[in-house]
Amino acid sequence: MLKVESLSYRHAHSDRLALKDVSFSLDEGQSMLLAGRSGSGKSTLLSVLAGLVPHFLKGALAGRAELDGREAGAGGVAEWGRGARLMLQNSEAQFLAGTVGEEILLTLRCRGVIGPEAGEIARERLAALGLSALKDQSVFKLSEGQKQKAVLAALTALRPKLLLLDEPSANLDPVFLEELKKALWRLREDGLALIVADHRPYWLKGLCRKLLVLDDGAVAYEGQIEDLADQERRSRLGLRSPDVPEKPSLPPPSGFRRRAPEEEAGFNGTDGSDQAADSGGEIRIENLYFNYPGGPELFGGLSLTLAYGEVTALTGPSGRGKTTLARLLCGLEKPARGRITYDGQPAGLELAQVVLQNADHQLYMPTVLSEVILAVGAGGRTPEVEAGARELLASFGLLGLASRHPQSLSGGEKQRLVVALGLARPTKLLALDEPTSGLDGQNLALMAAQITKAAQAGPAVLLVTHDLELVGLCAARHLELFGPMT
Amino acid sequence: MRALSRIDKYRGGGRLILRPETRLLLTVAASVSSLALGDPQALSLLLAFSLLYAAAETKFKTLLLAYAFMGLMCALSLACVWLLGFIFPPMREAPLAGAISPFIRLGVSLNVILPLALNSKLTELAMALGRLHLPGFLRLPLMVTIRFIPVILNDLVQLREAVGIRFRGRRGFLFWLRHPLTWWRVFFQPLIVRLIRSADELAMASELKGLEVNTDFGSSAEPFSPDDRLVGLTAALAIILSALAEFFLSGSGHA
Repeated sequence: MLKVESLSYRHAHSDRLALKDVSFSLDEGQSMLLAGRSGSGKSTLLSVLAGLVPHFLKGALAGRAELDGREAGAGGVAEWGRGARLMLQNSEAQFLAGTVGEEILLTLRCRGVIGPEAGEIARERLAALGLSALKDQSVFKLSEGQKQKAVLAALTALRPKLLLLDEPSANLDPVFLEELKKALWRLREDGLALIVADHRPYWLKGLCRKLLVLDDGAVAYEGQIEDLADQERRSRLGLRSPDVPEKPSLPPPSGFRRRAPEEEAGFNGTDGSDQAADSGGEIRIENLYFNYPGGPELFGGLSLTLAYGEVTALTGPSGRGKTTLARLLCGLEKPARGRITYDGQPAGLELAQVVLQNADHQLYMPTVLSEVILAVGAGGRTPEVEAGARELLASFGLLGLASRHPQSLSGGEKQRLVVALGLARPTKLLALDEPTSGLDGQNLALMAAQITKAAQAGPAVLLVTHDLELVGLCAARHLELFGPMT
Repeated sequence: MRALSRIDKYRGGGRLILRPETRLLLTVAASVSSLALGDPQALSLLLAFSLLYAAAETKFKTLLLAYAFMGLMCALSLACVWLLGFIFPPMREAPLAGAISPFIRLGVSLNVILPLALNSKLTELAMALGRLHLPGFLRLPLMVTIRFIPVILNDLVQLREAVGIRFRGRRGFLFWLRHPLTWWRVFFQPLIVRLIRSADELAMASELKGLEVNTDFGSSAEPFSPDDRLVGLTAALAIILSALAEFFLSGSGHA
């Protein structure tokens, strides 16, 4: 059905080939994992297959990509899109309508399907993806997983033959990943071919059989997803493990207890002893309750202690208060009841470093080096500060990019840089919100090593993440939140 | 989801039942008329009519806040003109009418844009644009622009928080006043980068959705309501009266 032969592509204004002589084929109902390091050309290949080249993205294209005998992009992006649809990494960017139902109707209207027929298709798609109850929900109020399902509903409304997904797992928790997998499974059963570009192969086991690995734009390996079990091959190709435990078998933070019954409080973890809670100087949460205006009460009287020098992972479904707990610990929010103290002092932003999810908002300076120097703060640009900044950049594999503009870095490089900025100054608590969402295997290992090293230097590290592979690599303790939606 | 609201918190009054096309056309007609008119009295007439429309469509408190902000901006610019008058004395002797007209135009624009932004859903506006049978090269950028509003608001919220964390202890107004370059770098540079990236993503999403080839957004399911007709007729009357006022009061008829 899909035939790609000797496909090469060079972006406009670039001397480097982004795709080099790529060839593969895919039959109806087949699915393939497209893997590779960050910047290896996965998204570019998807863009070509979605028909964006040369109509939307300019550049030089050579070779052929055909879907049922028609050449990629034939008749323009929209016309080609009847056969092949692309789900972008940022699912929210794909919404042009206000509500879930309107989004599907708008998609159909753009293809000339209107009236009762459009209504019927929209109802069927909403039901198929379990979104019927969210028909009139604003797309901006959906959780990340719901957004992806809503985009899927719209993309599949006119039964394309090929569905292309760019990093669908980047912002999803394991529960929604499982739901997405089921939805994709059903689409595949209906004969849809799937190509999923993703750094996390574990959730695609059983869904994708074929594996295509790109490296520097060229096919570096073609085989089955099971072939990723070979650790040597994974390290060589910079890929992540296909085997990640469903739940980390780590102890909860010391002194962990809650007042409300477990189901109500929404935690997974065995109560620690009070003795542990009273040991040493640490960051302590006592009898914590919190709620946003009009929202449910969270944390049910949570108490726990974060020990210095230790990495604690906070996991759980999206919207259950993980980021809120990190914000409370850093003093960005105030508890409704209870208290948070650092060695007896009230929590405050001056005692903590927090690295937010979106790197774009955290980079301001003209070069990567000056960004780190700014983060170091006191003292200005002295030779000692600059040497320290260079050392920090080297530890994150970013020294070669020191003179680049931070906003010109790739997503993975920006993620490493903002975590490095978080480590630039001594602190008592380092809170990292999803630090590895778009990282390949090689950079994941590097990030895990740096987080472990940072904790050894003194601060308590709180890791808010859906990335169970990261938890396994560097966390000493684990707490899972599954309470009411915030 | 209102066009100007990321979280539905600025919901307006919307006491008239108007189709989004009516609000769009009113905005265009009022803006073009205010540009064509030059006499302050004629513009004031247009301002009065548009204020009636805004009052019927917008919550009093929101309207008051918007006017307070506009008043502040006008006062600042008048103060600048006054200061410049010390350097260029002819500026102090310029007729008041020349100085006041731009502010009245600003008021007219505010009066028609507020109801449009606060009472129209994104989808309604996008569909209305489609139904106005504008050429694709105009419709597509306009639809993406409308969709852009919540993206900007969301980015502003996140940026403010990120700056608050990074520049803790240095957030006072005086700090930013003393460091304008840092202020530019910290607030505008990331925002511009984000906006460029979001614009690119939205444009790509529009292409993928097929908006550029769509020629049939259909005719509206609803006919124009009595409110639509009343507002349309009143707007036409207001524009005619303002044009007449311009013709007779200015005596030149240059409008």
